[in-house]
Amino acid sequence: MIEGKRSVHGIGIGLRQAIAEPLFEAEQLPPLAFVEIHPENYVRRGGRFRGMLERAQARWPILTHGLTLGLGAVEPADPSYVAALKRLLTQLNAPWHSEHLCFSGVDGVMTHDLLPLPFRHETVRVVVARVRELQDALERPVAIENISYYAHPGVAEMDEAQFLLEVLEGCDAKLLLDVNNVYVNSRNHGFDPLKFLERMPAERIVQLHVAGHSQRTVRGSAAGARQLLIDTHGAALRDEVYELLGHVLARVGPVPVLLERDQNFPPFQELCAELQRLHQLYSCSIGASWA
Amino acid sequence: MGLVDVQRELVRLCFAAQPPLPAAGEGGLLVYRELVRERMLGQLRVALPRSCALLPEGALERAVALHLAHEPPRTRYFRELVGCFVASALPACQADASLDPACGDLLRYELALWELLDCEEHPADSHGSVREEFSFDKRPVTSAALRLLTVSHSVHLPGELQAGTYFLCLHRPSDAERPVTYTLTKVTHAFLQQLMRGEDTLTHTVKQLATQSGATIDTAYLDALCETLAQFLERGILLGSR
Repeated sequence: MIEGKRSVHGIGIGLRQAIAEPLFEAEQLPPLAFVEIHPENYVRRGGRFRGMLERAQARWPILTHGLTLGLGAVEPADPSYVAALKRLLTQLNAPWHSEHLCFSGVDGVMTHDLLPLPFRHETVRVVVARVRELQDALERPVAIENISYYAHPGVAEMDEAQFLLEVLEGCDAKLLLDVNNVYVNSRNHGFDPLKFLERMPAERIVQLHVAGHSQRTVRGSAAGARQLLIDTHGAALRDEVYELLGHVLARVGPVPVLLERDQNFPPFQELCAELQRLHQLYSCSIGASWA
Repeated sequence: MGLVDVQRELVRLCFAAQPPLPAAGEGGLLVYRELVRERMLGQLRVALPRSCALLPEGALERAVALHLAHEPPRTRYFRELVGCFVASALPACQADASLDPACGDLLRYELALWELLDCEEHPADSHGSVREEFSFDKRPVTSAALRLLTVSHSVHLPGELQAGTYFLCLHRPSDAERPVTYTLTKVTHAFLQQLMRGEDTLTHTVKQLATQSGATIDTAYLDALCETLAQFLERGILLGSR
């Protein structure tokens, strides 16, 4: 187990500008164990964002979660950005840094989205190399997050769970398990989310993510229109995701659990109610199995 | 297809003007094309609200599609996509007679405000020098949270946009969240531009500016200069010398 897994545990929220003021100023907040930031929003930046980070750091532990170093990139990460990232992680005393099991661009072009990787042996080799490079450069563990994907590009040589397992074992990395992404993928691609979760190695899980999702009709494919769940981080958590989270917590034990909310923010009290419900679930699940 | 080819195809699907239709079973990939566009449009509407409102219906979406197809993003910083878009869309916007003539000025003004919101205040140390106390015999150092614009419309004033030439200085003080806009005279604007370049000593800059504008450096000129410099220093526009 790495240092930090037990030192930061409980419910946290993503530090976003839209909720920063009420978060800092609220007289009463549900128990908040940490906040999570996207380093890209703070590197090479001053003004409001620097102030927000300083205020948060004075109050909570900060975990870091990257958006742009897709671990399946065929090109090595930009060393100047990695150096800047390392400085920030050191400043924040981040116990680990997480990135997504995806790619975000190629040939220098950035899509600013989390694009799916083919579940193939070649991809495993590339991801393993990228994660090792990043762990070496950052001098701290890298946690890999499973993404929501809306179609598999090309022919798969294994299923998503196997792909994830091979990557984790290949580079001896930690896992940031996004429970909502497992649910979304199970609905979009037709598998049992519980069976998927049971295959995930509990000893590698350092953090959990949960978020809301939405449904949308995708048109224009050769097969015509179809309904997909999209991981928007823009809605309240569904009961099914709470249920899966409880299942994972009972198995994994105390870890940091992040409520991801990036858009369509509700009134702050609604967000607090969601945090409170998560806190209750956390206490019950951990208490039942890990007391 | 190897991994790199798969990735190139998917990026093309996101950005190309005429993307290939995905194979049966891969239709869900089209959602990424929609998501990258929606995210960018959302960001532009937040950063450039008045410019977006000035555009006819559908024009922003068309401009974004054109921008993404021809100059797809290369920065990892999402906030910088606004500047990339404006740089790419501005020439077409200024040349399009069907658009409001203030559109180009408004885009530049709103972009400057957007960039100033969160930029670092202290200048990058590109000259390998350390900032010192202000001196006429040294080169000036100005805040990095500073932009100068010359516009042909009253983009900085409330109310209807009026034609007219304005020399603007936008600055975010280190203790403020939002930038402030000052209207300068043409000469002060040119002077501050020279200070921002920071290539010559202040004494040399003053002499050069006086020569260019045909002014005599007399007591009145020096009094006005000192008052201007005092204001720049007081407001954190001028930080010192190097």
